[in-house]
Amino acid sequence: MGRSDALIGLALAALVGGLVSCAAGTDPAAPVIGGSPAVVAGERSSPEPARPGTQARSQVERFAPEELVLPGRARAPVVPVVTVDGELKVPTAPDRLGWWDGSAYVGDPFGATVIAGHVDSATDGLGFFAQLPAIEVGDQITVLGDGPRQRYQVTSVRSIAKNALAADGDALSQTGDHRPVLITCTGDYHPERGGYEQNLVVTAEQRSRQGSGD
Amino acid sequence: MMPVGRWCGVAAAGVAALMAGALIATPSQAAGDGAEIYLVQALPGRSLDVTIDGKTVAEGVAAAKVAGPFDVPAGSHRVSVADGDQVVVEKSVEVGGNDSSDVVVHLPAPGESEPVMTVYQNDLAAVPADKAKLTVAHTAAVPPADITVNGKVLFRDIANGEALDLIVPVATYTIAIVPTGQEKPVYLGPLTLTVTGGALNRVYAVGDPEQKTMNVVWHEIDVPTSGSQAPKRIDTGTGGQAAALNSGREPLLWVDLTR
Repeated sequence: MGRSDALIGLALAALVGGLVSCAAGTDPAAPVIGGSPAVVAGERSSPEPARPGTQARSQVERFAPEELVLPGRARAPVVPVVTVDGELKVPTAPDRLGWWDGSAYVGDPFGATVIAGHVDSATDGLGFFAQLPAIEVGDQITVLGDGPRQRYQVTSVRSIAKNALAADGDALSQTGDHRPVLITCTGDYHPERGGYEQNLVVTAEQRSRQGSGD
Repeated sequence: MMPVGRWCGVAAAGVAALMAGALIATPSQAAGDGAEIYLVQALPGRSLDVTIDGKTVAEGVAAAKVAGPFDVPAGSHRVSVADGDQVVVEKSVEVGGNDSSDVVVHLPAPGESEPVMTVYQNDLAAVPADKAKLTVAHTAAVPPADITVNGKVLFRDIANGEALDLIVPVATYTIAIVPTGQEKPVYLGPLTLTVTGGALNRVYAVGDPEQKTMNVVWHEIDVPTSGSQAPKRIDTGTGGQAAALNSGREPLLWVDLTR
């Protein structure tokens, strides 16, 4: 073990912040390569750790919807879906719902949490949302994640022209108070004109803090 | 010759043999395991020099300013802020590979006297391009507080050293800081804050109202983009069976309790 090894060792030890603790004190005979004032200052144990910043208890856990429960306890799974060329790619199977992945999570303070599903399908018949037109203002719906859940009360049930959906101030907007918005098709079906021409838009609002379990 | 010093030399050399491989073989943090540190100077009325592991990285950082980011290897580092020759706070900060951290030097809660160094991890998870991750931290000399956003309490009961996150759409917001559960006195604000989309927006409440030094400090870090754009159409019916079921029903009525 040569003296030059000891010098390199001391310099590297200072660089990595006290890997070796020489708490008993300095050695005035040991030279320091590139030593900063801190190295010769005296105490060589590591300083105390900085305090870790923590989350306040009131932190709301946000979650993407994974399941929707309608009045009467009907439930359907919800998966994230994307917009491609302006069209929301809702799951083909009408017993599954799609949550637009650019929309608000449950727990966000602002924005629509958009959940859409087929009212029916040429191959699979009536969909989960075939019962949506029967929903009424004041009804309770629940959106569940993996564990947490949030209950809401329906505040409006509307039928709007499909080509008016994007401009609607409430249905897709990511501003305004947080609200789930359930969307399917409704009205008359005209196969020669592409099918349904109306969207059914059901909006709800949160009345209390979210819960988990039960 | 001092036995202790000699022991230091011998032990350090042993460590050096182990470390030399790691330090020399990874020429820069771009190799992927490095971390970054921002230094948030939240001590009012001070101009501070910042030192990491004995090396001065910034000088004369004024209050309510953010210095950095500074690249450091993963591991433990001695971070020190000094006012001339006088060390104000010196602590050890541990960072993991690829971490981004805010190291904040700030006033303690009322009743304590020593300045504090608090380290927050920067969560660089993706957000939609038109939304901001807004993280508000309490690093001021006030008791636990609420933060109102456009008049509504959105951050509730945060104590010195704590933080809260929200994802919000890009907009200009009016914020104010009040004692938790109360409306006055207003510690700070109302003031307007425009958040940056596609980014982590870090906001710190800093200072001491009794010294009239209350302020906010903020900086933004770009994050990846998640989520797809708003749809223009939602086509959700391909069979017509529901229409057949419902033919003859009354047209739907719009009843809205909220407006």
